[in-house]
Amino acid sequence: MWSKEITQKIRATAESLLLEGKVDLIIGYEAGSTPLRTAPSFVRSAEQASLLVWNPFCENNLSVYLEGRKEKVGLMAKGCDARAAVVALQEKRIDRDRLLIIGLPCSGVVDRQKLAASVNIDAVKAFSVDKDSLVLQTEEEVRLPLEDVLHASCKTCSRRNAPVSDIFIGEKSSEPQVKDEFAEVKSFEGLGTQERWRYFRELAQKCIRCYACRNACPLCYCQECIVDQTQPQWFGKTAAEEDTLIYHIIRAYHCAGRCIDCGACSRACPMGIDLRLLNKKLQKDVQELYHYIPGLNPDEAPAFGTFKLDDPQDCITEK
Amino acid sequence: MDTGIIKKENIKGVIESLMQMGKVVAPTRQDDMTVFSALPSSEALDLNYTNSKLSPKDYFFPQTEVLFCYEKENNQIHPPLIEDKPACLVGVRPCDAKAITLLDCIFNDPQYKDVYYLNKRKNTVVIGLACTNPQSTCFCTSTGGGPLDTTGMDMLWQDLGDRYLIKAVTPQGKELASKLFGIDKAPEKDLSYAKKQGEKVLSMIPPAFEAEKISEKLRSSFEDSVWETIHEKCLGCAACTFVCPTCHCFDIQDENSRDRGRRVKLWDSCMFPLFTLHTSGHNPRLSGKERMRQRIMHKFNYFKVNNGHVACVGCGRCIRECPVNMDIRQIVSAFS
Repeated sequence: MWSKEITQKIRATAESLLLEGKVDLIIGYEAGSTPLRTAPSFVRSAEQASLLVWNPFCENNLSVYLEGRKEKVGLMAKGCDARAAVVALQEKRIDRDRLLIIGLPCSGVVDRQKLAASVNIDAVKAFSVDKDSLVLQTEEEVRLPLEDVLHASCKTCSRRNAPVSDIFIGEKSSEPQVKDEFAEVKSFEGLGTQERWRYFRELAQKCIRCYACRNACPLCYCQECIVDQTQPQWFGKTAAEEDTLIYHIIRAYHCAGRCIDCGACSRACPMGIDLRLLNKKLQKDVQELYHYIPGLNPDEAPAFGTFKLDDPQDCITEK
Repeated sequence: MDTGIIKKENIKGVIESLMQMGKVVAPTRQDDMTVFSALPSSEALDLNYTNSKLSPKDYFFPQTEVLFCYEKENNQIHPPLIEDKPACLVGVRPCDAKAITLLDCIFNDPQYKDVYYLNKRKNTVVIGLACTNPQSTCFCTSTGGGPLDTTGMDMLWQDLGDRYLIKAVTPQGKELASKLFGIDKAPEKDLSYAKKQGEKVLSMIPPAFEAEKISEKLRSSFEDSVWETIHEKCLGCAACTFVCPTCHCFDIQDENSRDRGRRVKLWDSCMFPLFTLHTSGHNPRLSGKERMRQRIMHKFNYFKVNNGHVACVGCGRCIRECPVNMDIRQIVSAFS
């Protein structure tokens, strides 16, 4: 649930955690500099705790900031932030005893690019959440059902609450009944080769290779990304279609069995590319082949970190 | 300054005349965004946009530009076709038009001339479009611009509702305007309405900082403690630099296959670690701190010292497109 009370509780919790020395740093969200934005916030003193906010514009996956940290961190976590943290724990990127997961009741975040198509965001002076509606104060009051402006990844999410948390603030959100989270993938699978190829070509034509998707992704922590390797340089660095596509396809494969579909890559993309479809397809394959859903249990081995003798082997095409 | 009026209903005809003279690059709608592209027809023009997703810098300084191709056999080198046909950039916002003059500082350097850039530059007329609807991210008034600024334009169009006020800025602009619709002096009532509108829009963009002061301050701020934390939320992607109309850093690569290849010039970004990685493996800008410092210092200090103007025109794209809401106004204001 999005409410001012939760914000107050978050600030009080952050303050006491810092005062008691239980964490050195809280990673959360603060108000952004422009209407309907928040920004990641790094709170190191009790006085700064009043910066923290909780609203439907808390769109970043904050687990991206865990990599390489030496401090003991308190992480404000939606379901997807916590699941990305679980993947980081499984992959031994962070120590469990240096991470305190502060679970928060998420009700899905707003897709601001989609919102901008119907509302002049610059005219919004204030906003609030009233039950299931987003209320925007422009020259007149605009009421929108939250459901209509949620990000696509939130519409197929049925894990809004952190599966693992040390503290949970507020009451857990009710988990929506998602009819078929892979509906979009299935209809894409049903398309012919030419149509699918056209989809990927259009994706590549829009991409400017800024790597916002990679850098916003909590799973993309490679010390040196394949696109940055120079000896050898595996593929071209221009905006040429074939090189851009290779980048996206490699990134998707590297995230297979790990991607928790937080949608951070899509929300980060300045060109509005829907990057989720490719990842969602691989997520579906992993779920069907290995019955594995990533980011739920830190003690479980990740899909590609283990094997069973009866794992399907159809993918091995050379006999 | 010579002025004139065109009714909106006549714009289509004007664009068609321009298209007969050469390529017309203008704002068009593609999916949910406005981008600059070569107009396929006058219908595609969109002059009601606030600001385009990417700046028109891509026209003069493309993300990927082939410098030449080569073949191993007989050591053949094929230069690309240099575009020497007349072209027209239409509907360029004052911030973006001014940015072109800053790109000139780099690609028309007294010592180093980029012929690919200059050929297009010399053959292109720039028609600007005054701002009537600034965004919350606009801050051109902090960097010496404004909604009616004509820097970098040959002609300015200002939307007055059912008509555009035309101002010829350069002799080329005047010549083109005379050919297209005649230009002399617009009616007094249109001129005074346009002036009032300009003042109103100007008041909607209050300055966020004083660029002069900040440049001065930055000169002695290389070791300032602000840099330690200000970059912390930055993800290190290049969204800001790629959407920026003034960022001009590029890489040159040879793309080889077995017996042929091409040399390409492509956008690069100071926000990437690879940008400064030495062959030895040493990287002088090791973390986000050094990279963020470089971006800000280059825009507001080094470029100012070298070229007399800060390398920022206040278009606000970097703020709007940043995945984590890094706001350059806040960063530089930390040095005010």
